[in-house]
Amino acid sequence: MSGTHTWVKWNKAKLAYDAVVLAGIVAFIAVFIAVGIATPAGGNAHDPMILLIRATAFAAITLLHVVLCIGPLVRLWPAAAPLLYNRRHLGVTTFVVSLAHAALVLLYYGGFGAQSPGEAVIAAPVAGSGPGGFPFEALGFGGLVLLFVLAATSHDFWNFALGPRLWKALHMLVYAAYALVIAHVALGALQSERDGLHVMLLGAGVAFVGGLHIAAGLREARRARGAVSPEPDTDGWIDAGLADDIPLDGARTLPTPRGERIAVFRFREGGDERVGAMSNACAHQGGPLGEGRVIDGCLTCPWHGWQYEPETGHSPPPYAERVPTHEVRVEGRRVFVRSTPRQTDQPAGCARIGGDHG
Amino acid sequence: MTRSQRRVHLVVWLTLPVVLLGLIGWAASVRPSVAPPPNGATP
Repeated sequence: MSGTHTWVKWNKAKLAYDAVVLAGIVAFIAVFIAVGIATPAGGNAHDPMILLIRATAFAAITLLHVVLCIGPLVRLWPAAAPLLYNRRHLGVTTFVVSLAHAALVLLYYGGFGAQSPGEAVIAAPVAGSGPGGFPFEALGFGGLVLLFVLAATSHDFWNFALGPRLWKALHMLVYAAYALVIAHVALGALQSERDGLHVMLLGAGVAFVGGLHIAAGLREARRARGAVSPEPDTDGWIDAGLADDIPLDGARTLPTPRGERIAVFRFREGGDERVGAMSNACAHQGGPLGEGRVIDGCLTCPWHGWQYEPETGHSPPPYAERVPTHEVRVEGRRVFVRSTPRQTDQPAGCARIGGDHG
Repeated sequence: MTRSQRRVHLVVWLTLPVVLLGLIGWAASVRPSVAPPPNGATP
């Protein structure tokens, strides 16, 4: 990707977001321990370390569910798109809390030094010491390793070093991590629970995450099936419908017969209304520009707010990303889009509604 | 997201919850039973 890419810097909004997340986790753990101490229970259930181990486990698995729900939620309810903006911060937090859980387990069950941490790390994953005799530690360890890989490669540096496609494929490992974590809990902690509460909670979590993904997937498939792909004419122009069907300062997605998608957008500039078209895939992570809005004169991706100038498809300085643009022409209020994109160094420009191209 | 990627996602998400819910159900059914304490108190 672009060698002149400028990273998004740490800013006040991100710091505030992280502070809120941190405060939420601390509050969650404090309430969990307080409730645990106040609840009558036998055995070592009131041991503060046991409660802390359980609290970090609950916090980590809750965070993982939240992280996994954000994607499909945004597909079903676009107004939730701001949740995507700092999703990776939540992912890294999930790893850190999981690591704290694993470290506490190793320290506690290693007798705080009776067994060396090195031995404990090697022995625990194969010990099969759970109440059901399953080697559930290995599953948790595997999930933790995957979460580490995801956290370590979460920065945009890796997105650009690996390319958006490979990066996205790598980060699909979050589902493998989720499966390992669920198996870790089912074959570990659930085995020592006498009531059905934890079974129901875990089952409800999986059903909710799964149901949300299936609903989002079905909706996407229905949308793709229902979208009529207009055949281009002999010159390669696709009838994109009336300009009035494109929201002002917004966009819509135009599918091509080849299965690609074009973002067609309408905006006001000076006293003119203009329409333009560019590839639907954001250069950052392939976000749907056709579901974006025109903000501050730029088409803005709904996922992470990456922006592109309507006339050129180039990100405004100092950013250097480029998205291919498509030529547009307007007849009356009917919009036509060229099906093949221009090279990024040959921007197509926009068309004035009620006037000629350019 | 391409058409084939969407298809892979749908297949994964139609099978993964079923597998995981099955695992949870099975894990719950094989939990070791606990004998009641000698004094008759419930655990």
